[in-house]
Amino acid sequence: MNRRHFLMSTGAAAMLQGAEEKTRLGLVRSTHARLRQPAPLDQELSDAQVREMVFRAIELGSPGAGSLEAKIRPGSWLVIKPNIVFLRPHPAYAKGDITDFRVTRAVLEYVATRSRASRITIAEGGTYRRPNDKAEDNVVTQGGQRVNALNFDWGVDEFPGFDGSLGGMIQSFARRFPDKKFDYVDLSYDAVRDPGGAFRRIEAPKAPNGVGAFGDRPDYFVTNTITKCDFLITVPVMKVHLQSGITACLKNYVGTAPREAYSRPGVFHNAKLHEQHSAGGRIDPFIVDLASFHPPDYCVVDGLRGLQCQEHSIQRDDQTVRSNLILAGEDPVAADAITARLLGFQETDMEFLHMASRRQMGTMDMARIDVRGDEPDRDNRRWEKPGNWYGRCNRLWKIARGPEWVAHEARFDTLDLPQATGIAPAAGVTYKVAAQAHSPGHGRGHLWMGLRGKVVARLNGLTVAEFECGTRYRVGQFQFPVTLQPGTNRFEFHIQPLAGQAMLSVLVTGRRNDGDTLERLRWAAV
Amino acid sequence: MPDEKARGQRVLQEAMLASASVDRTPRIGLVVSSFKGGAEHDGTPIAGLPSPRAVDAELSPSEQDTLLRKAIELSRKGRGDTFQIDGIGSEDWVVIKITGSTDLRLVRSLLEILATARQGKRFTIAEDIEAPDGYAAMLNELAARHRTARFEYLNLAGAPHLSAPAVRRTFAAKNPDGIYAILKVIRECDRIITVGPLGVSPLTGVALSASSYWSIAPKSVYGAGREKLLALGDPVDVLCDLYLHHPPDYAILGGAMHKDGAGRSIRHNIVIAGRSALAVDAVGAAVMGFDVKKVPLLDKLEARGFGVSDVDSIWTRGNEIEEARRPFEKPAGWSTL
Repeated sequence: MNRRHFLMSTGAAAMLQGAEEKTRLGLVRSTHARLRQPAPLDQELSDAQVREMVFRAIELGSPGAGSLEAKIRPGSWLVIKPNIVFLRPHPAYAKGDITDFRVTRAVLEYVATRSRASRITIAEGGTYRRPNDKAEDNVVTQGGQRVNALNFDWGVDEFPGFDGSLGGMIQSFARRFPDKKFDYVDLSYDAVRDPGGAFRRIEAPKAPNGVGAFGDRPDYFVTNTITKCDFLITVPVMKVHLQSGITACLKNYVGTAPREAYSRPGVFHNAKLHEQHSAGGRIDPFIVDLASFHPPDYCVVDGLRGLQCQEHSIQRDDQTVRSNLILAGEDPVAADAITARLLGFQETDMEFLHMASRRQMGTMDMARIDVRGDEPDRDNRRWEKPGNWYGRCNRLWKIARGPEWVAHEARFDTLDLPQATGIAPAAGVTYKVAAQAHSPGHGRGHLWMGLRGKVVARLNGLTVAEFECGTRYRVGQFQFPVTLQPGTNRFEFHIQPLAGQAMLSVLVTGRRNDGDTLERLRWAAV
Repeated sequence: MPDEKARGQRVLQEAMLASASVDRTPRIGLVVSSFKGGAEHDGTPIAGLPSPRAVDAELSPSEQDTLLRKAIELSRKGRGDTFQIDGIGSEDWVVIKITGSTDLRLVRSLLEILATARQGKRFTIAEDIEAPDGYAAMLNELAARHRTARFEYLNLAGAPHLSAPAVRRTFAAKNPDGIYAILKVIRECDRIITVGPLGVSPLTGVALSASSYWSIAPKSVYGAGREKLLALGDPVDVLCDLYLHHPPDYAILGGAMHKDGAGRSIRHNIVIAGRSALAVDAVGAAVMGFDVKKVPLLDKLEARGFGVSDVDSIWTRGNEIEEARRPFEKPAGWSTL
């Protein structure tokens, strides 16, 4: 997308449409003209520079209440949730893997100095046992002592200007602000329990519009801190993610799932969360479900440095990408949508953003997002995507039932035709389905199909692919160059089952053919 | 492994104990036809070949098959009753990427192993030449014996291709967008297994598993000698970019006949096999007498995250590299590389 298109799709377009209320985000790069000491985007920053960027982004990304401090009620229990998934000795740790402690400290300082919260908690659950856990796996030691996120000493080099531990930082704030309580909660060990002491499952709450859980299992183990606190600030680091595309404000909630309830013996990882709550082969459902227990009241995204290709180290020196930016605002969906753009993705390709929007957690409509401060479309680099990346497939189908075409919305990427039609996959059966895509102009792209069966695919009446697949089903496996016409494009697929199965998934990627949906292409009901 | 971090006056030792980290040491099976047995690092004996032969002897098909099976067995992480190759699923579409001089007997044995273990449902043998002698008959024979699987030969020279970026950062200096024309089959298949002999190349020093990737770039786009491809940058960088599109899921080097830098045929009965193609190539290069650290292709593949090429960091099982070594004449100009 070029600058003109971007502006048209964001602020300028909305201005033309009238004074519709928009969600506000603050974006501050290290080059921001109003900083006292602007710095190049590839330069290591001082603590003072990071602090000023965070403060400035929060001021620019003021919530509807007028300011972050105005939104926090006096006497509140405020929780700051950074991403500290690993400590440095973990073999998959790399710089850019976790939230920069200078960002966390600046957020803490902001709310400590300006809000009237009475208790401020830093909360996180990562892949490390707490010191008094008797398990012997995933134990981190430093100087011969067992440590966790609270007392791990990061030294002076990891986050220049931050010297020491999270615990030391909390203590210094406690001394500086004696009228407030500061503490740390290890969310891995904070599961809600029943009176008998057993872990208690709680069903994901319904949104005001009635939308409930997306995960295969709707009841979750959650933590006391997340469900009971008054105000929650998510402070993620922005990274590329192997499964969800990106990780920022909402994906940060995976760290709120208590590992004491979701891990398997010997592996301190939320394995059972993935097993029980994934749906449609995706983790997006439980990302949004976990967030629904207490959606973020405010978000500060650490975009100083992050990881490309995937969310943890793959032992490559070029995996860490420095961007030197901070993004802040109260709408987590909008913040993640802009983060997706900053990382070179399209927000409409993020499944979890569609789900969060349906739950009314915020907006991913660029025309309703007002980014203040720096411009989101400038100075971005292309972050490396995961090798198996594909955007969100079409969900809006029409299925032929005799002479009639019936609308059908697929829950996930793959359309299971016998299930969707109720017609058994017997010999001689041909399923006919159609989809419609709107293209703003002539567009060259690639039709990506996942298939089980035998298909004839037509675009605007012309056959573009004819083949069969009886091997392993995979979304985006088969790719064909296509040219779209301006306006409406009709795809039609005739599928015969193979070995009792007929499955289809469809997306159209752009000229670059990297898994992102062709820009500004929108699927619509036929 | 503890790591000391100096921080001002403090020096603390850091470690993560008993984490669920994966053992990343590549395990490579290396067997020559004279292999009489050996031992693991812990002393556990490794059985030798049932009838060892001299490394330059002419092997029967059955002896060649046994050699391949031994190398595959030694490359495996797990043990089980079923003989199979790690990482290949029952419903996978497997491409066997050969070269013009791949030993047909290795391909036959490999397909027999996979089909018998029901690893793979569709097998496509691929190279940018007409099917060499013997392939059509072999495929018919296999199809008759394994009726639930599909066997085919694909001449890449006429196969459809599409434009696609390498999925990761690309390196060729004159192709900053990283877009290449790539054969569709390479992007669409589930698994790739490379099978080729030991060989050398004036462009990249060694011509092993990675070099097999030149032919995934269609001549119809890049020219008969792929001159338009070579114009995109240093050959090593271009080859790395091609390799990025779908690195081998398993690599097999060896057979009976190989060619050195002087174009001489060399008989050396060897099989090197493993899931890390880079490690397989590193061991292959060492066997041919190359100083692996001075082969830019292997060095760059390691630097770009495809695994390790340092033979000291590779777990070779079966013969030691020294036992299997057969120095090859280097390609012309190699000393200046």
